[in-house]
Amino acid sequence: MTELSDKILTTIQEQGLKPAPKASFRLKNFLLWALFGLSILVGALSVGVSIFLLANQEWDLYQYVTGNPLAFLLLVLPYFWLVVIIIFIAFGFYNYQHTKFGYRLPLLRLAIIYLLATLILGLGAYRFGLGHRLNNFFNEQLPGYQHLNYEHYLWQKADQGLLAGEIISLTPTGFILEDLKGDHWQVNALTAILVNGATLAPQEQIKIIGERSDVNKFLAREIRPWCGCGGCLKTEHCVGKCGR
Amino acid sequence: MVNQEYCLERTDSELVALALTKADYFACLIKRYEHQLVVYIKRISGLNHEDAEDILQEVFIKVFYNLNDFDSGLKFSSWIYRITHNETMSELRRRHSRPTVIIDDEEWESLACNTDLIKEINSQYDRALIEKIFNQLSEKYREVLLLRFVEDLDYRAISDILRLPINTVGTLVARARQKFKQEFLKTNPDRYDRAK
Repeated sequence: MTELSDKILTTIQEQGLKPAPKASFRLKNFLLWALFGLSILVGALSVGVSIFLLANQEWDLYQYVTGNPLAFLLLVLPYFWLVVIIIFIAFGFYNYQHTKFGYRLPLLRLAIIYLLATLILGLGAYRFGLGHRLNNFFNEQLPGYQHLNYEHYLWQKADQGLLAGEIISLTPTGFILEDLKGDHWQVNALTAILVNGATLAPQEQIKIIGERSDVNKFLAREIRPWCGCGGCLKTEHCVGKCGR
Repeated sequence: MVNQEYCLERTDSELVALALTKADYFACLIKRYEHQLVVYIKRISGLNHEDAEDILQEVFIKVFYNLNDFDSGLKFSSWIYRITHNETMSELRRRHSRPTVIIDDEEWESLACNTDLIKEINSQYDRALIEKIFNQLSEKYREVLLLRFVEDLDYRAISDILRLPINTVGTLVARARQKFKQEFLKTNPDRYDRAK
């Protein structure tokens, strides 16, 4: 035996060293794969919610806000979910690359496989209504989630003809509306058309397209229900009118 | 004590399996790799023999502790080189020292020839100059050039040692050769015309 092997074997014996059990390495590898799978799952669900939000966006509103569909798209992109997707892509990559042979797959190929998997599963999640359900779940359970959605701010642009809120009471010419900031508006709805099953009754939550006629006075041209695809102003009113 | 004749007839994987049942067989693996690994440590770090042996001792203890993690999808030599490489780099980081490549005269010449430096530049072999330029290259380039042209390993083995995709290894080797040549020409502008 060489001197070095003597020294090492003596150290091994003196310190009572033993090879770590196979199970610990298997567990570590299993955890890395499980976390990679989890990152694909969360990524796919985030894609599902993003598709849902984009598919249910009221694209005709661009003319009131930006006048340009592309600029409007940049405003209404579901940034919260895009950030979640990016975080979980990074998380997934990290875990995959730390699996035993994860380094053998080039990063670009891994990115393509990961994105395809999340897109396909995300489309499936959207088709089976998981995107909608998850969005509603976050609406109900995560305080402030609605504020992450641009739609919340979109309907606070009375000067640009967009107003939303809850009907407080009906008047001979329309109704009194409490907007998202809590201000009261006198809305003239004599010539307004009601679309998508919107109804005018106290406690109804609605979105109005029209024009501001005076301080806290609004002339409605079109009234849409708030509850539905994008959630509600107050979650207790959300009764699932989205159709899914 | 294990019979050395018996060790010589066994493959690395067989010795790993035997070492898992009886630690004495681990001596066969130590004996098989100690020389080439101590040389490798000295090459990539510039440390003296004693320091290199201290690192190697840590390497073998780590290898022994992780024997069950060895996967037959990988060559044992690549696995042990990887552990050696990482352990050496960690030690250099601990010492806050930049690795200096130390190889012998014949290996420098071989490196210069294999990277086509002498042929392309049409230059006389100048060890001092080659060594100076090589040590100026960034770590990622130096390590692939060493593994490829001094350790004489193939791309798959380098990929497994450095945990990089095989394509990336190919790209790094090509870029390292290019960089080596560029640095040489930058330092020796008078030889530029001959190289064109």
